[in-house]
Amino acid sequence: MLSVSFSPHRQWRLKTAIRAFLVVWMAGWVLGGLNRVSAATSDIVGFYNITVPAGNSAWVCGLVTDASYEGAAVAVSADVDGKALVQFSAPGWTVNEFNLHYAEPQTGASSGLAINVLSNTADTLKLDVAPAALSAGTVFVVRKHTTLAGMMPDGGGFQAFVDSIALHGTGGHRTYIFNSFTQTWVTLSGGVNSNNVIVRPGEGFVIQMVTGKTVMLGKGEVCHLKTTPTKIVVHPNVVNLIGQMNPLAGQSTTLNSLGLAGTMAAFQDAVIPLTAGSLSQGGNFVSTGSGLVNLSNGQQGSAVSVGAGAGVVLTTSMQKTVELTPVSVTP
Amino acid sequence: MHTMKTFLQIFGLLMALATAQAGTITISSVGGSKFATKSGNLLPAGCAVRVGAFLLPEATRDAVLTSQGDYAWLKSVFTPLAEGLIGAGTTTQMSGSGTVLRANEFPAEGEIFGSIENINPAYMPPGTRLYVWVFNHADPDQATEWGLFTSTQWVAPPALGNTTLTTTSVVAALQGESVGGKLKLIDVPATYGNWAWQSFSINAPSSVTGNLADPDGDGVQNIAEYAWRLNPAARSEPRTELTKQTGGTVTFRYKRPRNLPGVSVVAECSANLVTWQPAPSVVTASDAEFDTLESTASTAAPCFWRVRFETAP
Repeated sequence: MLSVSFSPHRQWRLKTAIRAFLVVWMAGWVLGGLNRVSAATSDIVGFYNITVPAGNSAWVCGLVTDASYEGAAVAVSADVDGKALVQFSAPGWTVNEFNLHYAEPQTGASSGLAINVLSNTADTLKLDVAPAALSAGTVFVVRKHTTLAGMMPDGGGFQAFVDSIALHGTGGHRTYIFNSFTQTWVTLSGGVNSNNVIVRPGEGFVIQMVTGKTVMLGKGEVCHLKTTPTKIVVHPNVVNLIGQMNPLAGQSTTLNSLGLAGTMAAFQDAVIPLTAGSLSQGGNFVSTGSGLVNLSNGQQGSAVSVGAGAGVVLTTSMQKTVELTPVSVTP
Repeated sequence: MHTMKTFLQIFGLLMALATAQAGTITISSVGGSKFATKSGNLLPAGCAVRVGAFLLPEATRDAVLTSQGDYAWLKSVFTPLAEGLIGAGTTTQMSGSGTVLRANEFPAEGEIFGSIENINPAYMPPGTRLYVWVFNHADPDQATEWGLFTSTQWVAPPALGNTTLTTTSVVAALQGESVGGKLKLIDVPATYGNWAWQSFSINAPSSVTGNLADPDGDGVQNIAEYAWRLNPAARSEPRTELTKQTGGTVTFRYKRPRNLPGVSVVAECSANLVTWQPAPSVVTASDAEFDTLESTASTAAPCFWRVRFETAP
């Protein structure tokens, strides 16, 4: 057996040293426990501006709302109508609290696609998609949709009853104006309250103004960066207005930096830049697989500037999903 | 047979040693300072009294106990006695689940009197400084006032001896007041932990009580609910406001709590939603609970605000 002994003096020094160490350790433990700091932040409010010229110009709301929930699905099944039921582990939701919300898968084939939430129970989302596109284990982010009122709660600088904003889709275009008396967005024809009209991520719109103005976007709940790719469903024979998320990245970007080339049909689908004010078309840029090139003159998409927050048109011969690359911000 | 006999002999010897080594504490305020609520009324019958020691370095212990009023933290370093009057030092005691001493059950109003026997010196070494923690409720977990008292003469008894904790000696009110012959309680200190304990329950899981939790799902995390004095069990709106001013400016208005320890509240701003810096703010109004602050920016450039909450020691 190993035996170690010390002289009484050394034993005293050893005990003193151990005692001192324990006191210091205990003091550190106590103070460490008391001083442990954690932080939280409130929801973000703020705005960014776009300079809208007189006439017509195409834009995109480059920000999104805050995430209402983020978590991995534990099960995916089909409802009686064929829509996907996506179950989560004890998220503690209130039934149907996700009115006007969408769920965005973060992985898999549907990652980046904003899928409308049709309804929800305490732990399950019913999504407007077939379940085959989703799988258990996929992480979803649930956000409230950007709406006209969420994007510009006080009119954003629009001249009431004069300036307008139009959204294009498979049903044609719908035009809205701001009613300064009721402080609401309404349809141009009929004056129907349109505060909750949805502007999907990456979806563009046309602003028409009699005189040029600075429009303030995001002053309501639409104040959050989206740093992941965004998928957009585009349709044939429709004005598919799209544009880059995050206009805060800089004053302008390029057609190529939209990142569309990889999901466009090579030499078939085309991107058309638009001139602000006149909406005149700046050529048909087709995908070469790795980039965009102007069919008529060979101009590279990398050489074509797209203003911050500006929208472009994508034409396609068949319905498909295209993907926009996230813009990184250089502080 | 022989083995069994030997075992019983050893067991009997151990029991005799345990009994012989046990000490006793008597706590008595008779003839000394009486215990009272913060308003000076003598403590009602049945209020809980906890006696024990705090596992803290001796040199700084009383200073820490004076400045730190977080119940959960205090409990985490508290070694209780008399939580089950018989069998002090048992696991039942250590779990804190026995019967606690009661104020004013005997002999008179405002008095605390009782005894704790069979204290195992291995559990509470002789000479350990003892503390008396008095609550204004029968269940400490539901108290709104408490007092934490000690004296240089309040120490754990020697192995075969008895110690009397009397208030006739000089009693230090680490949390509370010693005034006019009374040992007065104070409000349970305002800390995040105490707020969480009183807002939920002492046994609520950290997924509910944690300062970053949001059990009511309103997007306002607990630490912000605490700072903004909101109800963490019901959906609330953040105490912020963004208004566009005439003259090309936008004002961000927010509330900062007054006299609320445990949290710091600052506004931050950003032009790109990636890098954030403190937002210059001025106090424009104050009331008993809040300062109202404003941060103003030009509409010419992007500007975003948020309020940052940090737990503070």
